Order: sequence, then structure tokens, then C-alpha cells
Amino acid sequence: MATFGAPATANSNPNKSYEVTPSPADSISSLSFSPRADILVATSWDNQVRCWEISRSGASLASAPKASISHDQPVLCSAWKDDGTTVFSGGCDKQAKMWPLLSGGQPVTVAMHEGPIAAMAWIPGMNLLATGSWDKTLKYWDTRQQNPVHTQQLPDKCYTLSVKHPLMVVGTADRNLIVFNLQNPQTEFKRIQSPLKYQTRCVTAFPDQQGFLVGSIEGRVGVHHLDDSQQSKNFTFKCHRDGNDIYSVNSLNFHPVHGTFATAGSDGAFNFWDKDSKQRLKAMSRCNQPIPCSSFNHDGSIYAYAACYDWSKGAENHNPATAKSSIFLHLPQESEVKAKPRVGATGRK
Amino acid sequence: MRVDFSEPEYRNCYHCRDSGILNTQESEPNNVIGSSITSVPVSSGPFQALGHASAAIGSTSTSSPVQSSSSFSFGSAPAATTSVGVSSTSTPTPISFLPFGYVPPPPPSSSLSGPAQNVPWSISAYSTAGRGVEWAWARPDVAVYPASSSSSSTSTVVFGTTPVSVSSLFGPSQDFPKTTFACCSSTPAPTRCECSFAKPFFGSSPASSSSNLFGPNPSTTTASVFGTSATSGSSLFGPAQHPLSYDSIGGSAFAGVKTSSPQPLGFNGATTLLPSSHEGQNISSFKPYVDKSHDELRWEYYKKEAKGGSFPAAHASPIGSKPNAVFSPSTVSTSLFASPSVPDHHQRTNFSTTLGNFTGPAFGFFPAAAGGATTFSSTGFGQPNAPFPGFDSQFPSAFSSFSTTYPAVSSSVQRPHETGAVSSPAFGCTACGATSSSSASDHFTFNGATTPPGLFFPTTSSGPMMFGTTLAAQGTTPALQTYPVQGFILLPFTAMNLHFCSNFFTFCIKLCLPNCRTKSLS
Repeated sequence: MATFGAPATANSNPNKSYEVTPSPADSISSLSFSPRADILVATSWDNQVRCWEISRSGASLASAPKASISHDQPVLCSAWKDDGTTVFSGGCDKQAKMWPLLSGGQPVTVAMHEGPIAAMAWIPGMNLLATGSWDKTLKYWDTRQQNPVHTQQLPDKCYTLSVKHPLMVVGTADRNLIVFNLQNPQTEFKRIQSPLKYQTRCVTAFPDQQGFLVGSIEGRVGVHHLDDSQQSKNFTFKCHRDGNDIYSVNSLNFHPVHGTFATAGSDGAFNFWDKDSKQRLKAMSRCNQPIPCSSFNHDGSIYAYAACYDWSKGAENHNPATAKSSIFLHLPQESEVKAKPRVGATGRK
Repeated sequence: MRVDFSEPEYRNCYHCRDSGILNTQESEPNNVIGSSITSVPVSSGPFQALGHASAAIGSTSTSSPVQSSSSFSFGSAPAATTSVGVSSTSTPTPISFLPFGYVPPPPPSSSLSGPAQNVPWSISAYSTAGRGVEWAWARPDVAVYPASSSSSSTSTVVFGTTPVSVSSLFGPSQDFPKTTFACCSSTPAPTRCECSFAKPFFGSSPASSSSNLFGPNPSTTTASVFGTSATSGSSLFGPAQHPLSYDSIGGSAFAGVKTSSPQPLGFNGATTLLPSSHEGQNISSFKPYVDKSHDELRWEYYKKEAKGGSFPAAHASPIGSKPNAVFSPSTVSTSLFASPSVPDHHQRTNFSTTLGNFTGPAFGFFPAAAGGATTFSSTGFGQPNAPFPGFDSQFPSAFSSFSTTYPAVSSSVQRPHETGAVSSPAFGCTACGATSSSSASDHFTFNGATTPPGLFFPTTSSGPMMFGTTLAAQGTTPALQTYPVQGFILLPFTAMNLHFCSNFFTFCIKLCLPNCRTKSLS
């Protein structure tokens, strides 16, 4: 474990967001806030897992780098334990590591796969770590045991994973969406074909566990309810588009308090939406780089997002010499993230 | 979305023209039906063969024989009235489709198996039928433009080329589109033909239309097959209105056909699932990468880079070793530098000290000798020119030889002097033969030095013993120091080398000690 850096604050940004420093050397793959404190963890393609403590001073934010650990290969995902004491990370080295951050302990490997671990989530009610991999399996781990508690075979490579106990939604290649009721984790509750015609990029479960959002590379988001009686509420809407330019929806995050959600895309923009009123609450300005991941802190007062190349246009657009990876912190206004009564004909887009 | 956007345009075009054509068709069907009654027996065969599309094919086959006879009549009467032209304009359309539907079974196989030239001939046959149709179209052209003949031929080429590309590139698939078109032709076909014909004609002059229509025809046909968007078709291939009509009809009638048609090439030459008009294409939307996420593609790239990077890593290892290698030589060089310098310095110090010691005694000794020799040399020098000069020269030689004693060269240098000492034997011989002369000089010297001549002779006769004695004498008499030198010269000649070396070193030591004492005293 290494302790590094010094506090760093604001920087220029089209949305006046605060930049977290120091910036990772390569693209950021995931961002996750502690469920208990304003501690931000970022995983990156430079094999590092970094940790900052975010503090607010008046209307501004400050970020103090605290620690970092290394994987053997790029790190793709991270997840916090519900008590906020431990953070998990997984990546291309096919390992998931448990890092007891608050206790200052050394990271230990708690999960293994036959392929890179693309997604993970902590299951609070069961004290298990769920890891999804490109090896087409989903595994449940008790961190005290070496072997997985259960291995669930998936129809294809796991791309994304979201848990709102007891609801877990897994998005795989070939546009499969598998829903699990964690009260019976060994059985697929439901398997559906994505309502979106293109590759699934991200999923996130409703805070009320009644459904999920799914985002695709086609600049479209699907709102899907699990209850058949509410199928009429299902819909899709376009976003992260600029004329004929279509960008992928890389990240979907529900606001922990207001139940609205944010979308972040390859166009470098992030927007806030209300699915119930089918309104877009706020459209933020575009950064000059794609946004591959984002996260709300525990109370929704801070929205963290990364700005870096997300490989959405392939290797040809990757220029290591000029590439810069940044993490920004946005202080959303209440009006931006709070649902408001629908008025007039303002509808979905 | 793009499709939704294009549909209204298509509908508008279709609706407008269809409504117009429908009126015309109302009159034409009556005529066609009359003809079909006449040819019912003929159509039964083809009808059965194409049972899967009995309705459309039935009507087509029905019109086929009639149309051929009609075409003949038009051919024989090219100067028909305008009204007749109008009616012929509508009737040839179904005729043109019927031959395609009817002919494919037998002729395509023969044309395919035959030489390439036959294919054009068979196509010419088709084009002949087409020409009939073209003649029908040509009449309005003739009426409007005098140069209709060239445009007519151009049109013929257009129709002729289309079958070639169709049959050669997409035989079976083209059959399906043909059928599709035939089905569509029951209602919108006249509209399509009319639209496609009119636009190119008005769009360009006959000459330019000739080159434009002929040159890009194959490509336009191919493009129409590949293209799925009417907009893209029109934007990419302006004069390809005729293929455009096929495309639009196919698109509107059969979504499956549109879906199955190849997608335009996109990023990295790969076909993309998203419409080509959409910019900012996602890498995962391209065919080769559809089943791979951004991260997967990135990881694959990184692994390749890592393989490339492993070389730098491997190179780093040599670099790691190189510094060690570089460091080792530097260490070695340091040690080499240290060891040579210290010994060299020490040697120099010793050498200089030795040299100084040697010089000191020499000077200390020489002045004494010189002092003593002031009188001695003036007297003796005049008398014993031969021996004394030899001594004088030998003394410096001895001095230099001493300084170079450590190098082997000094020994070799000394040897010649010793060889020069052969003169000593001569001296001895001289003593034997010229005893008087040598004795005289020695006697004279000794007399001058107040030394008995008798002592000299014993020294010469018994070298070793006398040499020791000589040294003892040297300790007592400074003047005797001259004799030891002389004795030294003689002794190596007569004595053994080993004995000489030991004596020499002893001599040196004894020579140094007095000098040191002299210094300390001073």
C-alpha cells in the first residue's frame, strides 16, 4: 500500500466541476464512493486502484489522495462493502482483491476467474461478493473462503452488474439481461432480451428493486419493470446524441435520495433524468473526452465522473501521448436531481 | 429513425405517382385482360412452374405472349399516333417483367455454360425484348427530343447492363428481387419505371447521359444492391434513379430483403449495424466487434502492446545488465587506476629516493675524489691518458648502468662495458707484455699517491681476496675508493656472475649507508 500526493482542488471544466488530483496515468475504468463516507475509489487501466478523501469547504470541494494499490493488469471494476471499511477491485488479472482500506491492511485476493473480472458488487444481506467475468460466469464469494460459494453459468460474457438487494441484474454480451432474486441466487428469476437493439453497456437496478435501467452503445436507455402488470411503464429514450452522431451510454446511476438518475456517455456529457415523469432534468455541458464511468456519493451531494478515452472509437483514436485522464466532482443542484411535477407536453427525448 | 424519416418521402412519391398511374392502369388492364384470354393455354405451363406466386405470375404469364405480339406490332408501326403511344407505354411494362420471369429457366443455364460472348448475346435477346420496351419509351423521347435515337440506344445499354450485373453477380438473390419487383409491379411498377426513366432523362443531356449512364451502370446496380437507404442511394449515385426505384421498392415491400442486404462498409472497413449516415460510430457496432465491449477490445490491444512492450522489458533487462557491466568496468578501471597509480607513485618515490641516494653518494664521493684528484688528476691525467680516460668513461657508464640496473637493458649495456673490459685483459697482457708501461703508470700514480706498488699487484693477481681487501682499504683511505672501481671492473671479468651480483649489491648497500650517514650528519 502506498500513500501519496497532496490535496488538490478545482480546475477548469465546462460544468465548473472540481478536478481530483493527481490524475491517473491511464483511463479510469470505474468510480465508486464509500457508502458511509466521502471516500472515492477509482480503478484505472494503469493497474492502479487509488483512493481519495473528499472534503467540502463551503461551496468548494477538496480531494486528498490517501492510498493506492496495484493489480498485475488493468483494473476494471470496484465495489465497496456495505460498512464502508473495505473496497473490492477486480480486473484483467482475473483476480478480485479485498482492500481493508480503513484498517490500513494489505490487499488480499478473494476471488478468481478464468477470464478478466468485468463487474462486481457486494451483496449486503448475504455478506457475499458477486463477481461477473468474461469467462461467462457469475460467482458468489465468501471472503473467508477460498472457493466460491456458488458459480452461476451465464449465457455469455458478463459486461455489467447491478445489485439492489434482493434484486441483481446482470448484463451480458448478445444483449442478454438476467435477473436474479438473491433470495434464491442459484436460479435465474428472469432472462430477457434487452429492449435495446445494440450491445448492452450498463445496467442499474431501481432503488425500489422493481426494475432496472439498461444503457446501450446506441445512445439509448431502456426503462424496464419486472412486474408484468407494469409493462406499460416500460419505455426507451434516446440520449447522448448530437445530430447524426450517436454515442454510447457508459454509465447509469440513481440518485440515492431523489430516485432520479444520471446518464454519462461517450459524448463527454452527463445528464439527469426522471424516469417517472419521463423528463430530462438537466443536460450538462460536454467535456472534451468521453465519460466512461460515474458515481454518486452516499447522500447524492457529489457526483463524480471521469473524463478520458473509453475506446468507443477503437485504437485509432487512442493517443497515449496526448491522452489525459481526469476525475471531476460535480455538486449537483437540487433542481438538477430532484424530480419535479410534469407540466405541459415536455416529454421524453 | 432514418427509415422513419425516409418512409414519408417514399409514401408521398408512391402515393402521388401511384394515384396517377392507377387511372392509367384502369384502362390498360382491360386491354391486357382481353389479350390474356387469347393466350390462356400458353400461360398454363409457366403458371404451374411458378406456383408459389401464382397470382402475380399468372397475370405476368398471361401478358407475356400478348406483349410480344404487341411489341411486334409497335415495331412494325413505329409512327403510331400519340394515343397509341400512350397505351403502349403502359402495356410494355408488364411485358418486360414477364420475359424475365419466363426465360430464366432454360436460357440462363445455357448462357452460363456457354462462352462469355454468348451471355451478352442472350442478354442481347433480352435487350431486344427490352428494346421493344425501349421503343415504346423512345417514342415519347422522339416526340420531345430529336436526338432520341442516341438516348434510346443509351437506354438500351442501361437495360442491357442491368441483367448482366444481376445475373452474373446475384443470380438467385436477384431472382428474388425480380419476383419482388414483379409483385410490386402489379401496382407501383409503372410509377417506378416512369420515375426512374424521367429523372435521368431530364437530368442530363443525351451525350453526357450516354457516358454517365453507361459508365456507372454496373456500379450503380451494385450500389443499389448494397445500399439500403434511398437517401444514401441518391446521394452516392445521382443517375442511378432506376436502381433507386428497385431499392426503394424492395425496401418498402420487404424489410427482410433490406435486412439481408450487405451493410455499407464502416470503420476499419468493417460493416456496421448502424446506418452509415450516423457519425461517431461506436467500435462495438461494427460487425467484427459486435460481440466485444470497449473494454475487451482495449484489453486485447493492451495485450498486444504488452507483447510489444515485453521487448522493451527484455531490453530493460539488458539495460539493467549493461549498467552493471558498465559499472564493473568502471570498478575495474578504478581498481586498475588505483593499483597502477599507487604502485607507480610508490615506485617513483622509491626510484627517486634511490636515485637521489645514488646521486648523493656519487656527488659526495666524487667531490672527495675530485678534491683528492685535484693534484692527482693533473699529474696522473697527463701520464695515464689511456687507462684513466677509460676509468672516467666507465665510471659514468657504471653510474648510468646502476640507474638502469633494474631494467634488463642496463645489464646488456653493462655487458658491452664488460666487453670493453676486455681491454683490461689487454691491460693484463700489457702488464705481462707491457708491464713496464702499465706498471710505470700505476707505479707513478701510486708513488704520487704515496701507496706502495706492491699492494697494487696483489690486488690484480688475486681478485676476490683483494677485492674484499680493497673494500676494507676503501673504508680507510678515500684514495683507495678509486681502486675499488678498478677492481670492480676487473673482478666481473674474472669472477663468477653470481659472486659478482652479490658483491655488487653489497657494494651498493655499503655505498648507500655512508651516504645516508653523511646526510644525517649534515
